[in-house]
Amino acid sequence: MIYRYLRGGAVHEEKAAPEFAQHFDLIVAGLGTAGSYAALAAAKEGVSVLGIEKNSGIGGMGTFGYVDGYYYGVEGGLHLEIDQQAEAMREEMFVTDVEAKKYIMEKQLEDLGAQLLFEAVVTGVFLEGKTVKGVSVFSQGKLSNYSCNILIDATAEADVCAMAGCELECGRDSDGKTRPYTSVKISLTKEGERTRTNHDSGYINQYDPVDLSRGIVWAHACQLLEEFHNPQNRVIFIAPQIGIREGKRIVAEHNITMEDVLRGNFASDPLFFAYADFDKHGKDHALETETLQDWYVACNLSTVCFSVPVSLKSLIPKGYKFLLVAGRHLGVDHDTASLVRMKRDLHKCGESAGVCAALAIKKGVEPAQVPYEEVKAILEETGCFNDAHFVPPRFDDRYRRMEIQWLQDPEEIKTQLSTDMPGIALYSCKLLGAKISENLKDWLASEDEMLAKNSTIALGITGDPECLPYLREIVKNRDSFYYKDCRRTNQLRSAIAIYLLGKLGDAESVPLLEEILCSETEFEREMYRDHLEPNYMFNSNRNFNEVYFQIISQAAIALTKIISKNPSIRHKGLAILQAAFRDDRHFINTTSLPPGTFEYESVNNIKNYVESFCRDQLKV
Amino acid sequence: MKANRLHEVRVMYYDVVIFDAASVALGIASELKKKRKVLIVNRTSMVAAEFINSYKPGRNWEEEPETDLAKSIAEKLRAERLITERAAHFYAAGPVFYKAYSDLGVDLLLETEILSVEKAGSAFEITIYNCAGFGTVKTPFIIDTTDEGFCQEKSLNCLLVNKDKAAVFPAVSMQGADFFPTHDEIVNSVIMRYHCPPDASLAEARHGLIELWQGRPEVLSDWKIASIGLYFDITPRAVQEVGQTKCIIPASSYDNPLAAVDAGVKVGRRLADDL
Repeated sequence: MIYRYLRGGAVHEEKAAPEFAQHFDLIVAGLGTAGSYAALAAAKEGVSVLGIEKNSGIGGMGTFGYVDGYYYGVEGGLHLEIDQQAEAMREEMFVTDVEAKKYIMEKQLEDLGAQLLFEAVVTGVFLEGKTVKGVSVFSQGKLSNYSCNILIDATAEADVCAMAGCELECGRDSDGKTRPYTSVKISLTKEGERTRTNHDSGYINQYDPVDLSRGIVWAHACQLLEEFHNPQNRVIFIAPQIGIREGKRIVAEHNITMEDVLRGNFASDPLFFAYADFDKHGKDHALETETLQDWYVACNLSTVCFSVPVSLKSLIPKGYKFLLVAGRHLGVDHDTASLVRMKRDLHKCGESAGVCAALAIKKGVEPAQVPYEEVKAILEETGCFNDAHFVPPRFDDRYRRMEIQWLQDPEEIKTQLSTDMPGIALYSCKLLGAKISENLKDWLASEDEMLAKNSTIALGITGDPECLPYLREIVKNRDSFYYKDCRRTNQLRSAIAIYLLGKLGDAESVPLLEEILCSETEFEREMYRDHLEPNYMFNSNRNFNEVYFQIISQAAIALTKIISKNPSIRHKGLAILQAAFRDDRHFINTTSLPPGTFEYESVNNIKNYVESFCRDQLKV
Repeated sequence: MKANRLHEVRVMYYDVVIFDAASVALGIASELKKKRKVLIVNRTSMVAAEFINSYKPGRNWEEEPETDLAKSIAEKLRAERLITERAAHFYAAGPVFYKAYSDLGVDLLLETEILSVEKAGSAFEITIYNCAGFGTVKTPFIIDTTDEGFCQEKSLNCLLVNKDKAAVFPAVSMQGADFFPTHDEIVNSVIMRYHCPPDASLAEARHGLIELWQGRPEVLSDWKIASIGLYFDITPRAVQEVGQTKCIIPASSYDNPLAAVDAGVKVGRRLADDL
């Protein structure tokens, strides 16, 4: 047997002949959003369970992070019964249902015979080859070893998988950053009602203890900023667990990609359906993948919700046996990680993993060998799995609630391209590609300005270079017009045009980009003062100039792409990029908030990427 | 990788290591950092938890702090109306203390367990565990501000709220609990202390508190639990040891966090000269 553990951030390994204090059928590492339901589901199936949790109670972000509501996901499964019981208990004795949920779940697990170790951490894992045999745990001042048949890593950060040596991915390709994190502040109104503020707090590396500590202290200290202050309410506490939206993800037996989601390439044996939009939070879209930007930026479809079937293969680290994951570290790509992370979905993820593990234990087989129909039958019983949970893509909020039908008919496309809500038509054009190009080219010359400009964008999305002069014209005459397909996260048409110029590698647009990035008078344009107030349709606020940021962030990254595709303009392009960020102009024009805040760091991410790009190019 | 790589990982050296990011630790570190390299290691993500996350009512907050650091914190608490003539709401002071720690300029490791402390020659070798795994810290001097080993009495406290602003908390007695008015000008609230055995875990105490409140007298039915502490309200034994290599100062020994900061600053000044 070997013992693997982390020391100083690196995995170490040594031979071991451990003495195990106790054996459990199943060990669940982490009793948060997913792990709590993994433990509960498995215990209900009659297997012996050890749950290990660093907090002093169960529930993770829903309890210690105090995110007590739900954002998307679909109701169903064990969490429904817990929620109902917690609601009844809340009415009797609590202001919110958070403490009730902790109490009910902990009591249920105890009644089912599960052993729970709170304020405890897994410090190492025992393996035979790629088969997990047990863990070492620090709890109540001492280290102990426990053996198991199956282990579920529900730590959210893939902690146990990292120790076990599983292949992991983290962050976006451009700069390695994960989604912004939050601090949650809980207050009471003068009527005694609970109110919660959570604001994005910047970026964090939760695998570096120094940066994690800095991030926690910084985020909670920022609650003093005027923006987040409400003297009418009484703060009752700061949630001790910060809201980290993304971390390491396993390379699974099957990884779900954003391309899969958009194209509907799904597993045929789902355990549950996740449901949400690509809720990516950050504003620096320019640093995301082109797949995501085509969807989120160019087609302005950020708030469209998808059902994503998740199969057991996405919960099994590639090549490993008797090890499952439950939580946001499951096998998805960075883009999809922003969607498959909602609380209800992760409750189901935990429940599914718990059931699969329990059946495997009872049959004496690997989880992957459990017949799908048997798992499905149990999950259907609780409502965790339900065929009706799968729905086609749709807008699903109070601004817009409608199922999406992709368009084929050029006349229908033309009609929608003539509006300020062209998103569905734009993506339909992407799907149709060359089949719609001639129509779009005809409409470029239309007297209907909306149709002409939106056809330019559509042609750009199809990748046809004939759009380039028209795109340049949009950028030259840039304005603050934004599409209105979505609530909040709508994109400027001018910024979309810049993105497309970059994607198409248009060297002729370099002077335009230079003007945007380097001209002293750029910020004097009226467009940058058009949307300064908080607005439900456009994600601006008093301390973040959304219009300016969309334009300059897309311009900077577009220029890096153009340089990459046109070596002949490299020298000129790099000089522009270096000049663009030689002073703090873009920070000052975007936000008045200090370094470290999410707003400031959004600009900083662009600057850092540009500087890194320039360094790499100069080495060539 | 072979096990012997264990010894190749960098060891961190500090002049002083402080256990727990308590209020008193803030004061100590603020002085020691001027002359010494200081590390604070804290098991949880909470700072000054002995007052903030314990819902400890505190005493004598009207007394003017003596040190500049405590005065500046008091000023912020007054500006936030967390200290008034009638009341102090230290449980709401989290952002103020996080800001103080953010401004401190001392190395801080939150969510870090101390696995062992062993004497190695003239220094201590401390094994820690956090998100990077095992780590080793060496130091000639430890300041231990943790409470649990010195607990004489403890309670788990919660904040009770009545939506009726005019409702008066009735004069009731409940075995195992007592109540403190908060005199809050915004919310009608009371702090309940649920007394528990010194060896009770937070989860056990929380369950006991909830079950006690489930069986509360009818007259209290409109009082709801808004929040339960994540740290015990501890009355430590009267312990304060300042030795040649180790100093023990339980964080909960003080009347309120400002007094703790004051005391910490004084200890820090003394140690900065003595070490």
